Amino acid sequence: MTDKELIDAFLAGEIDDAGMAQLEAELEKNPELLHELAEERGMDQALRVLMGDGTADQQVTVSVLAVLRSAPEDQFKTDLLEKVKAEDLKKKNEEQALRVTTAVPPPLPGAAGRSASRRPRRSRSRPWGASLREGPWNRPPPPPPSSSRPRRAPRSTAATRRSPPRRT
Amino acid sequence: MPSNHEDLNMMMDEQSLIQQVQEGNLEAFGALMDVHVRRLRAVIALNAPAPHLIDEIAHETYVFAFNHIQDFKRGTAFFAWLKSIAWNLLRAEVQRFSREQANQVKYAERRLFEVAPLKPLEAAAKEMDGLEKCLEKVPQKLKQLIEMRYRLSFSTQEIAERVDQSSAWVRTTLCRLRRQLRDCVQDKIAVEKTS
Repeated sequence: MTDKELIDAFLAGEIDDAGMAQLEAELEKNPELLHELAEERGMDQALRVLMGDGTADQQVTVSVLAVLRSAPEDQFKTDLLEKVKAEDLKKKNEEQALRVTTAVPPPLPGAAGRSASRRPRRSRSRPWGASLREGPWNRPPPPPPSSSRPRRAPRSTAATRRSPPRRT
Repeated sequence: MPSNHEDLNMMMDEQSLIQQVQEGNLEAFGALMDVHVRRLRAVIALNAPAPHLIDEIAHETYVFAFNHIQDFKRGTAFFAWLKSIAWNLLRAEVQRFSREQANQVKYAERRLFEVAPLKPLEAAAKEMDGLEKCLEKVPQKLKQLIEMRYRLSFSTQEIAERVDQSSAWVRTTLCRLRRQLRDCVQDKIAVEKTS
């Protein structure tokens, strides 16, 4: 294709890959062709606008009016959002100020261990299986009594319960 | 300044519409847009490095104009004001493109953006006026080609079939025709300068 054909095909949107490669190679070689293409594009676009049926003109008008009509509504929404944000911030600031005035002063570094506000140690929760195993029925025997108290006989076993004690 | 009675009437209408817009009448702005939209789009089209920018810039120009309508001095040329807004927006868009999108488009499109912001605003506006006059002088046979390409949006193949010529002939002829129109416009501008 000649340069003119390439330019026209490009402007009409009918250029194929091979044509585009050719055009790009020509543009690389010849800077004048680039200016020619730029001028041609301007004229092509202007003719398209001037000879067009007015649909595009109408679309621009309609879209502009739509934007301008919705602008006050958008402004109202933005203003409202700003107002809500400002009130929220004011409320947070007030709460913060209140917290600062009623807060207990922090303990001195040296008194950290003696602080009354120490949290009690929490008992660990254990799995239910483990707590069953350690229930009262499975608890280890109590520690031996102190020496001042009389010793209790050891608990009878199942075998000793079955045979009564011998009488002498 | 308006050259005849009709132009004067049009300008009076325009000034009254502007007054209504400045008083907050949006419908009046719609009427004002109708008066200028085609010419504004054409001026942008003559200089836009990509077709999608035409309507985009026209849209933004009108939105900007409405939002700043209080800055417009009544009695001065409204279309010239619109053109200068459009020009600034177009220039900003070309700069933005070269910063952000240069690597995302094909080579030819990128190069077109590179050579885009060359013409001064006044030249572009005069080109527009000249083009309308030059179009009237195109011979009927060639005007058919323009009509088929630009008004009826026929493909090159369809045009070739209708005029019984090859596609290559249609492409070359349309290219020559656009070149002649450009030359005609430049001649008109040169004559205006000397007179």
